[in-house]
Amino acid sequence: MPTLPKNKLRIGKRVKVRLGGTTWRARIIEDRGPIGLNGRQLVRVELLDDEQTDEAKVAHQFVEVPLDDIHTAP
Amino acid sequence: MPSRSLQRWQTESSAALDQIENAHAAVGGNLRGRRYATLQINHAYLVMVSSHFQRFCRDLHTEAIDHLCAQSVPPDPRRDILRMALTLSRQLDSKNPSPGAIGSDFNRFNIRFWDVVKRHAPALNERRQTLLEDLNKWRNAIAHQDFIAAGLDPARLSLSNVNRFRTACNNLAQRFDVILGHHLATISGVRPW
Repeated sequence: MPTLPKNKLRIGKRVKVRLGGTTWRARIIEDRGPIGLNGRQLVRVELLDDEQTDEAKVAHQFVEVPLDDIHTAP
Repeated sequence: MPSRSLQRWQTESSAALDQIENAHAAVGGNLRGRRYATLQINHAYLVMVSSHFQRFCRDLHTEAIDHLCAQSVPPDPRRDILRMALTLSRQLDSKNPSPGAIGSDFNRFNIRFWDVVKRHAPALNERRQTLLEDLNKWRNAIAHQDFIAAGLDPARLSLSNVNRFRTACNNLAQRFDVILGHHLATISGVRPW
C-alpha cells in the first residue's frame, strides 16, 4: 500500500492504518503537527470496523499515528 | 532542550495570547464603554488561556506516547497496542485541562503525576493547581454564560486575574515538561527531549 503524501492529508479522508499487525480502515480526524519523535508529523485518526458501515463503526476509537504509517485506501 | 509541545506553547500559544492581551490595551473610548469592552476581552482571553493550555497538555501526552511507542526493526506489535491503549478515551481530548483530567491522563504513564509535580516547591505548585481549578471554573462559566452556578461575578474578572492564571499555566507547563522527560528517560532508557 502506498503511504499518504503530506499534501493529500485532508480531514475526513478515508485511509488505511497498520497497527499491531492489523490493517484498519480509518478516517483522518486531525493533523496534530510535527510533535512526534524527532519532529515527525502525527495524525489523529478514527478507526472504523472493516466489516461494518460507518454508522456501526468501532465505538469512536481514536489513535494518533505517524503520517508515514497512513496509507491511501484503495 | 524542551519538548516540542513546550516549545509550541512558548511560541505559537504565547504569541496568540499576547495578541489578545494587546487588544485589551488597544481598546479606546469613554470610560464606561471601555470597561464593558475590556471585560469581554478578559473573558475571551481567559478562555484562550485555558484552551491553549489544553492543547499543550494534549501535545505533551501525545509526544510522550510517540516516544514510548515508536517502532523499531523488527516492529513490535505490543507497542501499537500500547499506543492505542494510552490514547483510548483520553480526557484531554474532550474535557477542560482540569487537574483531574490531567492527572487521569498522565497517570497512565505509571506516575502519580500531581504528587511528583508538587514534590518540588510544594506550596507554589499546590497554589498553581488551585489556580488551574479556578481557571477552568471561569472557563465553564464563560462558555455556558452561567456565573451564578459557579458563584462567580462576571464583572470581577480583571486582566491581572487572567495574567495570574496564564503565569500559573506557564510554570506548570515547564514543570510538566521536566517531570515527564525524566520519567520517560527512566522507563525507556532514552531521554525523549
